[in-house]
Amino acid sequence: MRPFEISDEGTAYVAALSTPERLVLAQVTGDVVELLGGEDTDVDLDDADVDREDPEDGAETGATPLDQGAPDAESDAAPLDVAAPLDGAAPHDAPDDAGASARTPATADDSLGAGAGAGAGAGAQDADPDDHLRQILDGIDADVVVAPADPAVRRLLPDASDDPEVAHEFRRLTDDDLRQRKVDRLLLFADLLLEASPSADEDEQLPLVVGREEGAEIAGALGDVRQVIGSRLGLQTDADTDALYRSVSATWDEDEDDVLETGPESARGHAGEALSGPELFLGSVFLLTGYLQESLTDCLLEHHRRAGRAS
Amino acid sequence: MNVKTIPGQEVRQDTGASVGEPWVTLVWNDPVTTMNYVVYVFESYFGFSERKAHRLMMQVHSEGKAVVSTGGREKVEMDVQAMHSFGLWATMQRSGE
Repeated sequence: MRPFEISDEGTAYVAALSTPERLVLAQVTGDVVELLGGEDTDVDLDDADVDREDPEDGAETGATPLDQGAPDAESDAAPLDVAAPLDGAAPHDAPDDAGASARTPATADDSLGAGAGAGAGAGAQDADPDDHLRQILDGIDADVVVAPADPAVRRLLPDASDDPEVAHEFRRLTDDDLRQRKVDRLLLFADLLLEASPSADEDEQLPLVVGREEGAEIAGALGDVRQVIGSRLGLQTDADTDALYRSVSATWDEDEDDVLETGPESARGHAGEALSGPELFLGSVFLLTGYLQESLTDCLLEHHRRAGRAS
Repeated sequence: MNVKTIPGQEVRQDTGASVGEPWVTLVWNDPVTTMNYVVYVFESYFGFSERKAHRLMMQVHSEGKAVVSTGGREKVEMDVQAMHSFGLWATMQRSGE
């Protein structure tokens, strides 16, 4: 990975990523889209067929430590499923989550939608009278929008107030727009990642070109990806994040271009908390997206300030 | 540094007047968002100077939160939505709460 820089003409922001890095990022990004209830992108990695048949190369192609213990993860669909919480992070309130995702017709199974919040209006006649009463008291109709039960989604769409009435009203007004905006820019990011023809040389750094007008969207998409990974890794405080940076970077070799080329074996013998498997993998993606977002943001800031001085 | 430019403080003094119950937008620290991104959002969305954006970012980082805008409910709702869109953790509340 090479961080973003402003292109010579000043019309774009350009980073460089190896083919494996691009594939991993595209897939994780697609998982976040799925979490938000966007279209199942099914980011097509078949076009980028780099040594997929060789299991030994798994760590470099995106069939990564998250596969371990996931017997059906051999398919192309989602070998690194940030859409699925890590151990212990399972949502406690599945019906609420179903209600939230059912509001997005693109992915919602109709039967699921009818059984959950979104279908409450239609079924109200036969439903438990208490439920019906509660809906009336809440002043809501079939257009119910509930807070996401999955903590990772909740980081993307947080409560806007500790006053439940204010938070609910805000969610009702903004949930659709915010989800759509985030989904759109995540899909844009995934598209850009898959734009370059994959290289058979895993170390070859291929340019990732972000148009100037797309910069803020991509920086936002990177932030959303990081929020989801941060949630899955249980990052609660700045100290947690600092510790993660130390642990992950301690596993890197001298070759700093290969941020994702880490494996459980490389974590041995280093100081710091032992990281392995999915945590080490997600941690590496977290750091990679961090460098990308930070360098892209520096470019955006420079352009913004330059424009300010000019006017 | 001119402390009076912190919007929240002025609003609190006005709460008794009939200004229609102003609201404030709070941005909260989170362990994921980078510092320069917070500065970028403050400069590009609110139009704050580099210095003010940096000061508010440091306040978020060290104190856990900062008031970044004030106004009527609709205005603050719009600001909070923008913050969520950028990916910052923001909330709204009545001034003085």
